[in-house]
Amino acid sequence: MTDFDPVSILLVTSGTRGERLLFQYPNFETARTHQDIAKSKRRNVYSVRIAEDVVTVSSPVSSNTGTLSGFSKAILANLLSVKPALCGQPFDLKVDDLRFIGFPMLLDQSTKQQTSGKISHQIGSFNIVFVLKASVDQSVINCYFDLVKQLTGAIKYEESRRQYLSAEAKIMISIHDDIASLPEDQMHFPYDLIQTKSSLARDLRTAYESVKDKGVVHLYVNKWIEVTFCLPHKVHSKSSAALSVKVNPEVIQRCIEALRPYHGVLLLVDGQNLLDTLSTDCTPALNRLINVIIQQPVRSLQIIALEADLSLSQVFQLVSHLVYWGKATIVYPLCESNVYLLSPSSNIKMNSKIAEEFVQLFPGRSLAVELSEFSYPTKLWDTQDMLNKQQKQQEEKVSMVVWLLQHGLIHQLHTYVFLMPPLKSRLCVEDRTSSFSDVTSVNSDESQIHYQSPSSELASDGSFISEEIKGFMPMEDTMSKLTREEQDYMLNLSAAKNTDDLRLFLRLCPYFNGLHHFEEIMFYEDLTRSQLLTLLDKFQDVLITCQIKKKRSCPTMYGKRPARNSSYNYVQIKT
Amino acid sequence: MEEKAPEDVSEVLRARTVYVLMKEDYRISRNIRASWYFSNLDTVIPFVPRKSLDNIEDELTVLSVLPHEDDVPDENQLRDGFKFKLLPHSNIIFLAKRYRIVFVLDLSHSAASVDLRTGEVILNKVIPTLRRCLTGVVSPFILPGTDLLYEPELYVTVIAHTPLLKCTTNQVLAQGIRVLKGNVEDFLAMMKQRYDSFEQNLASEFSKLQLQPMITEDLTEVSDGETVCGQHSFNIPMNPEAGIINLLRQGYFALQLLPENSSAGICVVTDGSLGVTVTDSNRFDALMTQLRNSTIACSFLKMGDTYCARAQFGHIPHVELLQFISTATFGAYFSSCPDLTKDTSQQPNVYHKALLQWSFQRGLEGFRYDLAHGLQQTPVHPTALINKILAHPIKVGPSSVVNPIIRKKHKDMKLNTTLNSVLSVRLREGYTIKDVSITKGGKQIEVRLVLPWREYAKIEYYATASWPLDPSKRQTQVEIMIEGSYDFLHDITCSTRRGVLRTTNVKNFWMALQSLCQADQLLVHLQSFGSSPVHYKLISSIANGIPVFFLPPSSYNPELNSQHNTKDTALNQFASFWNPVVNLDIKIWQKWMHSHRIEMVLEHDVPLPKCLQIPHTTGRFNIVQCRQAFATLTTLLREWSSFILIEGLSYVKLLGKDPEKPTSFLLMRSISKPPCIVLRCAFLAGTSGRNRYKTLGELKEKLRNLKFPHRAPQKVDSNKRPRAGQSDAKPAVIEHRPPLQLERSEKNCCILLTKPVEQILISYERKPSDMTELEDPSKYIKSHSMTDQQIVTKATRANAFNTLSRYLHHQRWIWSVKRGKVDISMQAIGKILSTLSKIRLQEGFHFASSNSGIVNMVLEVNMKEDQNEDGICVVQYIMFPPHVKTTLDSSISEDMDEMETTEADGELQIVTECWIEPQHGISVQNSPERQHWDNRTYKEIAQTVRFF
Repeated sequence: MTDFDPVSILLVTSGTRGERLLFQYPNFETARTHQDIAKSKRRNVYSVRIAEDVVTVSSPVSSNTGTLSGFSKAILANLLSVKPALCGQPFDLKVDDLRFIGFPMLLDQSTKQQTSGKISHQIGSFNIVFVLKASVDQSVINCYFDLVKQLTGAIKYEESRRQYLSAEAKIMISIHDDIASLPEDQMHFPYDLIQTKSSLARDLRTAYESVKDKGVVHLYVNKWIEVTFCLPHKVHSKSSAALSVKVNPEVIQRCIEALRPYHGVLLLVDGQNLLDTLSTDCTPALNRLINVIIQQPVRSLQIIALEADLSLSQVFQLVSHLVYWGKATIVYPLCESNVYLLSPSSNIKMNSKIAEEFVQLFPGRSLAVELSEFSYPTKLWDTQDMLNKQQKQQEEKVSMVVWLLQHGLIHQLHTYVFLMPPLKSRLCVEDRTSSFSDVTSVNSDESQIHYQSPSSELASDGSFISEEIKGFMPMEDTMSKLTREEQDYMLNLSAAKNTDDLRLFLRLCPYFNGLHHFEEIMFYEDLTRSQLLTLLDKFQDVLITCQIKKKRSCPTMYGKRPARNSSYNYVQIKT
Repeated sequence: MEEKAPEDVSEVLRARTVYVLMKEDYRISRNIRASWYFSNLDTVIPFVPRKSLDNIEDELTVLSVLPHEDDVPDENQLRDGFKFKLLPHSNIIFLAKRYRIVFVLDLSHSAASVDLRTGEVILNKVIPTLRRCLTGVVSPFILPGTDLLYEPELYVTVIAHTPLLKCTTNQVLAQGIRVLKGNVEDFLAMMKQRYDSFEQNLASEFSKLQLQPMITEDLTEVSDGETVCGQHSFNIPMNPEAGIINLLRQGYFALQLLPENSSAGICVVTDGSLGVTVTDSNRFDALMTQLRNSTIACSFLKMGDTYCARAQFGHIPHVELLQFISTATFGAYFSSCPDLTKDTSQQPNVYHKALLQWSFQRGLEGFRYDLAHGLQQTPVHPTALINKILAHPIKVGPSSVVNPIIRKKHKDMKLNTTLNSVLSVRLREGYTIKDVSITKGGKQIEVRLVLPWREYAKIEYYATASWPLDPSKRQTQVEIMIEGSYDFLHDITCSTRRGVLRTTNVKNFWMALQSLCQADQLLVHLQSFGSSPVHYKLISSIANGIPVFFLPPSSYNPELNSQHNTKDTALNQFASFWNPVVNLDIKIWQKWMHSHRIEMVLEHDVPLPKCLQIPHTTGRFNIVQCRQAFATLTTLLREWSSFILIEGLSYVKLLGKDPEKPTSFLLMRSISKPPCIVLRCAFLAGTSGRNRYKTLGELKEKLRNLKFPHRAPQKVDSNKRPRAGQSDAKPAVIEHRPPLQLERSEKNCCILLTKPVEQILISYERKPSDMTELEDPSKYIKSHSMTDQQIVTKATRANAFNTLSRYLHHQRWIWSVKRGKVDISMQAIGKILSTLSKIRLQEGFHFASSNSGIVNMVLEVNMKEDQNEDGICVVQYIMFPPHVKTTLDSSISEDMDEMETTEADGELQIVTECWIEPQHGISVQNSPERQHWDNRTYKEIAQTVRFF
């Protein structure tokens, strides 16, 4: 059981005949042993000493064993039914190591009037409560609020439509009463029986069970109101084979915000399966999108938008949605020049379940062998299968790489470029770079760094070239950000003699701060990879390139854009 | 005051906003609005404020002028009138006296979920949203700049739409109710109550469907390694066209049953989780064209949250699509509906602006409630989102967005026709006037038109002509531009490897451009009508009534009639002008023509065939024939028209003051499926509304009074046929006699219908196998080997039936005739059925169709509501041939052919049906034979028809 799994789910109502705990799941047998305590406390549940009561009984409370012992029904009922003023808003109560998350709801009294004669117990308000461990993160609590809000909203609606809650409550109460009237020795816990009789109880059980099992809930309250929910913490930890990755909605949100048109999307689940399980009234656009992704896996969002005949923003919304629900992940579109590396957190045990799965999908292959190819950063076209010019093998390789990416076993490295004229006065820049490489376990290509001693010739030519530079107005801007020394050095490079090259170089200079990888530069400047590589080669004297896993944000070197977040937050789902 | 008046009046004010009222007698098309605009543009117009909104003579009347901020007139001027000048940038707002709005409530299942923001179920917001909008729109407002209280007639239909095919509950909550400020609360209370009961039905149907998957879910909990869990895979039979297309189609359909000559609008209340499925994109384009051509504004009132990633799975509102549709159809988009019940200012509110006021500018930006109120700042707004996504990492500022919209010139050409006619075609295609400017020192006018083609692409159309406009100068310079994102333009111009959808998309775009040019060429062709006598000079053989063309058997391409002297050059020139006219597609001919339709049923031949309702020994049935009436009708059309294009199909009447030099023509085409005939009429664009109205009135009068030719007197006793009980408007000279007692020659050949009956005619492909339920005809589609084309046709027909069956009120009666050993002959049953049909004929019904023994009869009944006297309600009465209910479970034997023979042990039944429009009000002005129908609602009428 992980931290964010619920301990229990409770249904509490409050009405003309006081508060009642109608349903609880799972069944805690241990609670019975404390029934005596509960009974003795029952008399003074309304007294002001209630806080003390909780303290006294709190010693046997334990969430570690996954139980909810120590709270009698009466205490829970009293604790969780709130006064009308608190209804209609989130309810969050922490008692020792337990946390009660609910969304108490006041029922519409006007609808009650008609039926007042028949129903003995009138419900004024009700509260569905998830019991969580107190240590749980705030983001998890917020998610549970969403779920409980949906359940409560749905039940309230069904109550006003069909008196659903009243009817279900009646069933539950009568079972409670029947059991209470049984002789002591035959007394058993009422909740099992309630589950067989009440659909609401079954729905609550389903909600609890599915959050716990899969982190995803999908049910229809009273067979009509749809409730769907996803606990990203759970869903995303399941989707990657990698261990101990912390994913919370903020991380996902940040990842979604970093989405760009050149990104691709990779389904983490079987596409056809996903299509089949889509809700009946799911937006057709999602259907379209998934169809396109199935037909043409790992294309950029831009292409997907065209293929699906959807606007880019709609595609973004849909993709973010899929990412949130753990159905897809963002990658860079698959191409042969992509560099992949074994993920440090991947499970590389020889006989693991995932390895078996792999063999089943790709008979005759071995996961370990395939992974070993990526022990060092490797370009896709440099792998054994790709070098082998057989198409079938190549295709298989691609699908294997897709599979490895889906399971988070490998990740892509991107190439970043730094502008670093080898000058003495460049100290601060060097500092930042080193800090950068520390954090990120860089595979920087040391060979690219050539320190050339500054030559004395540059002073003589300098004036001539800088005049010519003035012709290109936008570039002057770039140049002005460099020190005089740097400018001179660069203008003096042999590559700078070609004005076309220099112009392109200056245009790209703002990107050479380690913040923008190749693919991004290519996209924004409309360049091909070879154009970019040729240029970098020509200006290799002043540039450093490094390959790292894509980071989300990083302090800027040219100061104009403030750094949003300087921590290097690695998002697994993000690559 | 008196003495200074001349000076003041001579001072011309510049108009900022002009309110123009449209006449109610006939529809004022966009076209007329545009030509009014151009004829008044840049001219000085005197304006006298009106005291009331009654007795308006002109097609378009200026009601109010708000001058430019700098030109503030004094009070006297405002009261007594002034002169103003219409400038290219003046905003002209058109108002109508009568509106029809269909509210479609989208109750697809995504609405049965909880809004994460408010914790409320979205279904709970449907009626409140409708309430806000309706109360807002019905409250009268004072026209700015005047004291006139403006309160148009508003006819409302409310439909609860569900894509769930299983739910056969009638979806119409109300039809054709005139809603006013006074009755809006009652109306909404009624809607609330009907909506609730509809939802109960829907929910119970839905819950039945769930039982199945609930079981399978427990079984599939084996694979836990996957994340795809927790969702059941439903196989819920949804309408194949689920989604926005069906929804809008239904709205479009409902609009046709509301009073014509009114401004039409569809208003969809939705949670936004709508879209177009892959297979439907062609149909979507067709629907858009249809909506644009018929000037129907689609508006959307959105409920619930806008997008967020953690939304309910799959429930992503497609806001951009809704905005696109609303913009493209001159509608409005509300991201949320404000509550204006507290507002007593009598100023025009957002709902008035959105749903009643029409302007050319609307087609550019649409009307967006969120835009007007600064809500676009929220990060979830598509514009904000797209700017964020496309923000450049280096550059900042507004120009930093990568992938900007770019514009590319596609083509330019010179058209030999007037600017007005070019504009009229474009406006009918849905283009809107973006801006107008008068250049070259007042010598030239430039008009820029725009058509939003997709959310991300537009077609721009520049037209330039000399100014002021002169009808004799037939010269217009046009230029076509494409505007769109770089990606899109790249996609359409470069051939890259594409998927299926993308390829069709690109193809469709090119086709759109191509048809644009073709439309222009046809326009030039049609508009050249008056320019040369060869187009209208009738050579003797044509004038003598020989059709110009004939339709070769099994062909759709008319050929020149060989009865003429085909060598004659005059004939060939004449024919080459009319050939494209004959070939005009009536679905789109309103682009170039003003189109109208006259709908009628023909009186059937006597005597009726014997085996109409009971089968021959061969198992076949006869059908109702209308040969005599059809022949009489054809004669009338031949005589009334100037010449015949194709006998029995296409006629032309030349129009104009001078018969020698006609300026316009009326094209008539009859679409016949006797007894139902639809006469489609089209006037050449530019024919004035008054003339059209007059000519059509004349034709209708002739049709209405068309009698059978005199023949030898018949015996009075047998087979007397009725005439239209209520359709003759003329005061009867003779005493009223029941239809069955009329002489043949007293009867009308054609019974004109007000409503588009042909469109709501229920037709069964085959007798349903199980009479106890409403069958979905699509379930038979796959049963036999058919070509794809056949399947498509069948599917379309099945779909139409499904739409119809959920719209009309339906009642079916089954009478058991024979049970057990009692023997009743087929003849006896035949007698019962024919008596039944006589009763209906006596009541004023007419045969509308017959197919394999299933006979459909129709009748139009007048309905009255408190305020509204001219409601019409179509009643259809269907008789099935004798039905044998077998003891076999009907679901086992799917093969219908076998069913017919298992007569021996079955139960013999007579089955009749009534389908009636859910028109609000009570029935009035019934003929004496139908007196007992008076003061009955449509549901009660359905009950009444049951009796023998």
